[in-house]
Amino acid sequence: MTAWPRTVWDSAWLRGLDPPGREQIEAAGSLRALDAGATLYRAGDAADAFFVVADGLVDVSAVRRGDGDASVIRRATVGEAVGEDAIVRVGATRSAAATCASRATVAGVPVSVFRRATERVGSDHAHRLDRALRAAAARDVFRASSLQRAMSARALDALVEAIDHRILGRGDVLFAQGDPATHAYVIADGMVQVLTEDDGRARICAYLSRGDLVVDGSLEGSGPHEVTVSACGPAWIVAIPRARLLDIASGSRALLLMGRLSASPPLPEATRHVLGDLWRFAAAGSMLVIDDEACARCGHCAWSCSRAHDDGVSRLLLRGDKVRVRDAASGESRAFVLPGSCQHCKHPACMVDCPTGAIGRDPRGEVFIRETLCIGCEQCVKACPWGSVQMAPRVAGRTVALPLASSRRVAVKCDACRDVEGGPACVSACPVDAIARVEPLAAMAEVRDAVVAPGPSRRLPQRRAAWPWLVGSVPVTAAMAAAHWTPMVSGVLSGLLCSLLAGYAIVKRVRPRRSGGSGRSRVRPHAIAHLALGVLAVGAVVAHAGASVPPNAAGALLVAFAIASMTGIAMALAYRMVPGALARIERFARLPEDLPNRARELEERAFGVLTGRSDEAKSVYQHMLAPYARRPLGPIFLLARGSAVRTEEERVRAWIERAVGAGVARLDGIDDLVRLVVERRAIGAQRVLQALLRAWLPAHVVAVAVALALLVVHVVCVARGR
Amino acid sequence: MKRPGNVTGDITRVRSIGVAAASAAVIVAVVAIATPRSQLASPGPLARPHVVASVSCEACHGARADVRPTSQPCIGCHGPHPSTRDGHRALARGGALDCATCHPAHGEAAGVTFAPDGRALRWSGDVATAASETGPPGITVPLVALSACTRCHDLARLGDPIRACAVLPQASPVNVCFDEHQSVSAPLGARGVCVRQHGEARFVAWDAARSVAADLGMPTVARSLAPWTWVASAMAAGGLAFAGMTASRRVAGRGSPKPGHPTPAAPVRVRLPQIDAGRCLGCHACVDACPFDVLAVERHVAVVARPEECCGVATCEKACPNGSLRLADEGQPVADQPRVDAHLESMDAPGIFLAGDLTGVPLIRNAILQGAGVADCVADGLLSENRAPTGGAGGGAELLVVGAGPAGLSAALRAKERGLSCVVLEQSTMAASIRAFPRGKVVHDPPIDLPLEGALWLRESTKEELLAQWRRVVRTHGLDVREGHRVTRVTRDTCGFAVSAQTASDVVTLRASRVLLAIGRRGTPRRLDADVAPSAASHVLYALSDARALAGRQVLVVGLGDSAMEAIVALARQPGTAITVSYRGAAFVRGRARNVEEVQRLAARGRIRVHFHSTVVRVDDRWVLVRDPGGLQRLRVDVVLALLGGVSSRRLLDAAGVRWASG
Repeated sequence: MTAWPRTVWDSAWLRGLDPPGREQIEAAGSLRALDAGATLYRAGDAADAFFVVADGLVDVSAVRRGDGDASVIRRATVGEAVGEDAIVRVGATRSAAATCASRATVAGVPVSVFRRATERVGSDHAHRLDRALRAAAARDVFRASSLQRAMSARALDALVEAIDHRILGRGDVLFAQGDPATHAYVIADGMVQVLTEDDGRARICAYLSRGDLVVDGSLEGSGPHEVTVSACGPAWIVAIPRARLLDIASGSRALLLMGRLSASPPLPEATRHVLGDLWRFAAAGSMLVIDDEACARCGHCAWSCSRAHDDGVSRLLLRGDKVRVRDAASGESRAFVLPGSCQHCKHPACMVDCPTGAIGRDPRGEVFIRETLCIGCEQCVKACPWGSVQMAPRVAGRTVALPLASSRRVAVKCDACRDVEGGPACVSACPVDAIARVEPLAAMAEVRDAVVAPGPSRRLPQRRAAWPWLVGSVPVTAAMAAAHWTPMVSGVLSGLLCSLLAGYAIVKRVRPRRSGGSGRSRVRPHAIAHLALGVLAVGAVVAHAGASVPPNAAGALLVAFAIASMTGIAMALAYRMVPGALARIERFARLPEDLPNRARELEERAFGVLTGRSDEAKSVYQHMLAPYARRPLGPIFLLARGSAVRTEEERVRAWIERAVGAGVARLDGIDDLVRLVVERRAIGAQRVLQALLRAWLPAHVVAVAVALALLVVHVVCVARGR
Repeated sequence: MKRPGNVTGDITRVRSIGVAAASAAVIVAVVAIATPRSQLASPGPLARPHVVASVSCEACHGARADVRPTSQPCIGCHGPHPSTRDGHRALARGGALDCATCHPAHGEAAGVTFAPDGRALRWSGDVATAASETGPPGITVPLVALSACTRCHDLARLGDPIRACAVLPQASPVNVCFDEHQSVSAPLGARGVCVRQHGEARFVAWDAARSVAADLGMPTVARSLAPWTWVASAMAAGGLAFAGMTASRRVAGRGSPKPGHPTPAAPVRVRLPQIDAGRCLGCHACVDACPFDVLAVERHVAVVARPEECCGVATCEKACPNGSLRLADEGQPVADQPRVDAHLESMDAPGIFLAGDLTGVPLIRNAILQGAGVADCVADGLLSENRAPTGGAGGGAELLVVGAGPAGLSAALRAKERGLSCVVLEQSTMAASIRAFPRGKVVHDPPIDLPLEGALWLRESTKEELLAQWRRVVRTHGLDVREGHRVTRVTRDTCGFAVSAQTASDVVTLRASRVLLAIGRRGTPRRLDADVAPSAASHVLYALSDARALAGRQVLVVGLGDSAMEAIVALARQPGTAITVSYRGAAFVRGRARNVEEVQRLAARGRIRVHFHSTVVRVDDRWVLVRDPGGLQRLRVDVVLALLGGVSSRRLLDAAGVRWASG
């Protein structure tokens, strides 16, 4: 018994469906009655359904390319549809907005169910409707594109008939340099990069996105393409045969000057890395970044992530690319590591392929996986371009919504701790304020410049400094040490301070009760307090015990406290000074256990690079570069020099040029080898530095445990002695 | 509890540190409980005179050994010694000053004792040093350190009364307060106790003690090392616990080689997948798992698209997350497969093993596992025959491997691990034996869990990288791989096998106890059917090992199958290489769609020139004569790359006695 009005079922889109198909659509879809002026959907909303107008009028409005504000591009009446761009791919976002011009009733039809229902009727029918939906969506795209300035609406409509659609995946090439030029293209959705290949190296010239026309050279010319265009992510491109475009647009000079493609100067070298994968930053809703010059590699973030989830699996791994970006608000340059953690894309590729709809997005934009619906098919794992989804064992005892789900593993990924109190556990656990979630489009200058992002700019997260507190506590400590207190008073004070110091370990593990953290580290103030209290405790202990070590439990306590203090001070100094040195020599953040493997890998890669090279290159490698890479104290020299990786590469290169003299030109491929050996040396340096960072903590904790046990013994002795 | 793969050291470190801290605290507690209470709070060793006099703890402390006693016990033995100074007397009355304040019984005690023969003994704590001075025998003079006074007095303060007593250090090395208990001028009474303790003339002993102290310096109390050793042992225990936890985790993570790793067996029957369309979700897991594109998803449901390609290895069934794909119970027997048992030994020719693609099991990783499994089986078999691995002595190898592909190399590695002598014969080069695997199918294949043999497997590598890896493995482990040896016959005799191989110049014969045929299915490369001048023979290649070596050359590629097309694409990437293709057919008829598309694109762009309907007639040093519909053409060519498919090795196998299933 269908409840939807006849006008819906008589519309061109839904005509001819059989009763089971209609039932499916009604069950999955929605019928809504809206007042005049009500919004049906906004730009940026998730697009998984299109809407058929049963009654009333609906306006579609969008920002035409080059305008500042939105304007109405189309009005839909009874029987027409809006929101056909959902057909492009599930999980797309709306580029236009729809509002009701009058009181209206609209029926929402989810695209995936629509497809199945039409295929029940016949695949020809389904195909025809699919094509019609795409054409309608393309028409809206054209109306909002840069083309509409140069062509009349009728000409645009005629153009729509001639087009053909290309759906590209990440990395797919639209056309390559040297291919014959037969079509012009309009980007309906997604982003593409335009690059030229000089001497085998790709150079990015420009980025184009939704609404841009892609045409290089002149429309009339028939030479081959001069650039390569490839998709940065899932993209929908509309291809127009050039001849047809010329027919329709004959005489319009504006059109011929249209393309934003130009031989613009290459983007600055310093920001090359960010732009090398610009799409990743533009697509990210909330990206987890770690400040490379602050991170102490203590692993607290990964540990707290594993504790925050029931299955004990950390969604965060401290390996990843390093990028250098400029703050959009202040312009300062910062280095960040991108750990393998979900960045909550605006167009989640993982969501698209999920067969059960287990992956969803909540209104705040966070992408999450519903464990009850996950069947462990691993499609999302394969779909994510950055490997942010992993498989983990299913937690026993959880209810499973789907009877089909028999797999032992489910997909897990960072969900920004949406059901954990206090916001992301990793962010609130960092003792040095190094990890934070940022929105690249708002906070990174290069991304904003390249993509022309809307919205205000924001600062990158700032760290809270500890040194003012330490500097302030030094005079207090000196005063305490010089004070003449009775042993009882100074003893109680020391004991209290030591207990507070030890309490830091408990405070770190307590989960906050308030929900919705401020997005900053909860542990950082406690870490600063820990440092300041440590300084004060030293003063109190010196006031209490002096410098002599009595041969009893009290003496042992003093020794243990001294060891704990010294390791603590060493750790604080290391946390302050080492990350900067580490940031200079690494291009890719690695865990300590990865470094030996990487070293071996580099050795083997060198052989791969050497095969087929000239004899000069081989002998340079054998006599100069291999010893350079293998010298045991080499990493120490690298650290002592304090140079960054690139500087070191240039130095080695200059050394080779001096040694070889005029024959440098014959040394093809030597740059790759130099890069490899410098990285090999840098790995040794990284091991040293990481050991410097991490070696203190076990000693510190053990010393503290010994000191606490001895404190108990000492207090008992003193109490009994009274 | 098996942990998922991404448990990093950061997370497991926390537990190790916790255990280390706990064990250190336990050591502290144990020592604290084991030590007598008195020593725990003791300020140091008992003064020597008390030790000599065998004074027990109870004598001063009474029942509670850890309570600081009053002055009563001291007075009980030594008699009352009130101070002559008003200030000190007042403090003593108030209880703030007692005997032990200046004369500690433990720890800081120091003094000079004169032995019965008059020789001086300077002691501090319970350690004594002999001196040469003499003094009144049997007298002990306590030396009070200035530090006892400076607890309350301040030498630098002008109004401090101690300035009257203590002369500044530079003037005199020793300042000993003489009149604290008895004024200088008062004579010593005839009281027995006083005379016993101080001698007839108190002055004499005091002076002698002063000169001893001046000579030997103010004694410093020997430091006890007890607190240091206590803390050090606790920290050491913690350190050991941490190191132990870390090491055990590392060992567990690495895993030991699994001798019982199951050897993938060839399926006997091909059972086609059957899909329950009502339950199938269209999730693509089976499509991605199948290496041969047998399955496809149509209308959101999986279907069997190319049943003729099915090899029966059933990875699709394992990949299906909800059991909607099952293999049929019945199936056609697999045609065209050699008969082998579970250990991959030929059922008709014992002693001959087969591994790799030849057995009908696809995928490189299976070939690696099979090769290792065969080497294990051979080693076990030789052991059971009481023929311990001789490592090459006795004329002939224990295992002879034919084919240096993944299966053959893996067998050679495992043989070396087990101590077997092994020779690998390869008809052309290792490069030729590399098969291209379909892109995108192995992206999520887990690595092989074997420490050595796993090195032959690289995920997502190019052919060049894989080849470089194999060469490195061969070089590192010193495997005996002989390229250019094409095995022509395997004959069995009384004590093993005689294997004849043809090299470029002659025929060699090798002996072996066991033979492994890992020759794949491509056979011997078909030779170029043209007139090749002897000087040009080295310019005709049958495999492309490294495209970079041909950069800048003029290359003629003969053939248009998958290998040829991939070689063309690789060569086209090299700068300056001029590529001509000669194919006797009329169009692109074979090979994967992706390869065809790429080569067509290259041709459309003019990067390569393709001559259809052409055959090579003659190969000279720098010229090649090619016949095509346009007549005879003379092409300027540096290198000819003939990739023409292979001649089956079936005859070799039949002659060796290996029988095939279903004839």
